Amino acid sequence: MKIAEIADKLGLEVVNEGQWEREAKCCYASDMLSDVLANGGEGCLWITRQSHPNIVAVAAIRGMAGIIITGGKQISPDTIEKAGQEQVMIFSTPKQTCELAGMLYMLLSNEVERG
Amino acid sequence: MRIYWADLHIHTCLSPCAELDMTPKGIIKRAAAKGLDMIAVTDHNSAGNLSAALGCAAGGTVAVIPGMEITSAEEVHILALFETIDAAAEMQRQLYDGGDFPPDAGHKAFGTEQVIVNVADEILGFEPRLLAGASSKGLEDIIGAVHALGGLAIASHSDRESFSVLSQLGFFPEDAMFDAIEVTGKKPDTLLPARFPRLHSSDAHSPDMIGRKKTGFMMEAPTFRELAMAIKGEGGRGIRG
Repeated sequence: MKIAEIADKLGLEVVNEGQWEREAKCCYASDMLSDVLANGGEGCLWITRQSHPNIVAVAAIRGMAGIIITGGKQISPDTIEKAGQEQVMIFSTPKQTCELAGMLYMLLSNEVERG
Repeated sequence: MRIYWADLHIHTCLSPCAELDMTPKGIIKRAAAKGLDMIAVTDHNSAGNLSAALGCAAGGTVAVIPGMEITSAEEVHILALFETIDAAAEMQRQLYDGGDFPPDAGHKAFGTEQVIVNVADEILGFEPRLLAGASSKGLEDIIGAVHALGGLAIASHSDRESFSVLSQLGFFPEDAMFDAIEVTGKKPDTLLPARFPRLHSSDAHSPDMIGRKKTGFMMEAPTFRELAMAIKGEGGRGIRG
């Protein structure tokens, strides 16, 4: 499913613009960046509460489709600036990780079932 | 100048994960028996037992550096070492006044009491704040606050699987302003930026751990200022093992 459609359906707030037309194939939820560096899948949307600038590099290294920061956290200008440089899409949501992950998982798995 | 042996990461019975027999008096005694010249007392997010620790050490052979192990918003542990108790207390005030570690958040959640004691190991009280929690301040903000108070900021167990820069942030941010990093040897040294001085400390939570790891500093005297110069490699001081 295209990122634009996902963002619309989940009511995500855009923090940093990027490739709206890119397909998100999967999702990954983790707050340990070492874990995401090791296991984050290419083309996945990554759900996290971390907002440290390092998230941008981790998403870029793993070729992830974008980052969704949960819990309505304030995101530092440093993080947003790095995301601009690396062209990594960042979204924000007031929802907590579990709820958002459930909604995103349903969206993506329904699409797989529909073929 | 000579080499002074230091263990700069020791918890007292105030830390939720430390054993109750980690009293300031007991820690100083054990450190002396292990031949240490200097220790830092670094409880999680609290300066509550520093005055007892410095009081116990007065007139003895082991110098005590006042410190604190601060948990950042990213859940990275940062050792903050200060010249005075006042500076450490001010760091604590900034955290608590900023709303971090709220009182009565359930201090028994981790099974052990957070005990504040005096120089005679008598119980003064129990810390009601959940010291195992995390600050709302990010890593860079905490390092900045420590430096503003004249302190040293050291990345705790920076190569460990939990609560470390590597575990929480994946890699060291390019602009991280740490004065030094503590290494455990659990991961290849090449994962850690070469620019940071390496320290070895015990992270003792029980008496038998005190001095198990230590760092030798070439300096004039076991004081905070000499330690800061040794870490920065100034004036012929330095790290020697």
